[in-house]
Amino acid sequence: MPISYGSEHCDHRLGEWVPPAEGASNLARNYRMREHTIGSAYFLYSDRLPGRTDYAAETRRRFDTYAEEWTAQTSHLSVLGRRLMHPSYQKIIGLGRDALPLILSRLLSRPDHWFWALRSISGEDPVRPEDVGTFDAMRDAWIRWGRKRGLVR
Amino acid sequence: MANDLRALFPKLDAQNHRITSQEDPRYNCVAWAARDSSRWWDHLYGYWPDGVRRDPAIEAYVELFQRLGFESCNSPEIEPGFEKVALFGKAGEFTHVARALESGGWTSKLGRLEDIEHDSLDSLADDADDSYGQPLVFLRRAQANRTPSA
Repeated sequence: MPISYGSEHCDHRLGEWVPPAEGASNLARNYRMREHTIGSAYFLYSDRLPGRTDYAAETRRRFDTYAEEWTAQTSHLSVLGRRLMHPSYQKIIGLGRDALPLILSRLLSRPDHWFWALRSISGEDPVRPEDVGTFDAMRDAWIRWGRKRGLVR
Repeated sequence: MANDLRALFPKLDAQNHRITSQEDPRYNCVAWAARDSSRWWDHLYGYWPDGVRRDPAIEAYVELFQRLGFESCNSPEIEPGFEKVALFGKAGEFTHVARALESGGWTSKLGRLEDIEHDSLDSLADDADDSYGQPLVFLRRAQANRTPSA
């Protein structure tokens, strides 16, 4: 939903990523002055406007459902292409950047081949070429990447 | 976990297999057959030896095992002095590989799940969706010629 307060409107919508270059932190300060709390420089949300809590909870619910489906239906497969093309894995990629913290937490709690999803969503790849196929090295590279960005503890 | 495996592989029963490890996402069936439990071998996004074509076709995985010193043979039966692997496929694509045991049975790593020993190749064969298909190619390597996995 578009964010608005009185007659003023924000160009961005709830749940949208706002890069720092577009002045996300100024946006947060200005709206805070109007008693709306708008969150981090990267993720635009509000505690007061309807939908924010629902949106985050809905994203988590969807992620958990898709992740369980994917795990249950593909864990026995050795060929990664068959696992990564599963509809539930593709739906997780479709959740976009909202899923990054969820995937990284899951990578720590229930290690699995989430690396392709992380690459696809982030557009980045912190794994060294010589480490591809070595699970622990790949996991560690992504966890370091996520911690630098405040996406995982 | 045993019940979960029987749900995935309907021909497994309490008598024809035993679980020999815990779940582990670090290695898959290809790695296990190549005697490497430290890496996930995969043509798309895993460890893959240089010079072997990256392709889901079963022929690419035959090429992979030939690189490890295996040659084609006609049957999965035990031959003294040789170790054997059996490659499964569906619709021309590789799906799974099992390694023969000297006892006459087979050992398989089931994706990111457990290793198992199973009496026959047929106990993992199935044509349902997301199954392994059928054992299609048998390869052997002289035990004296076993080369370390790359």
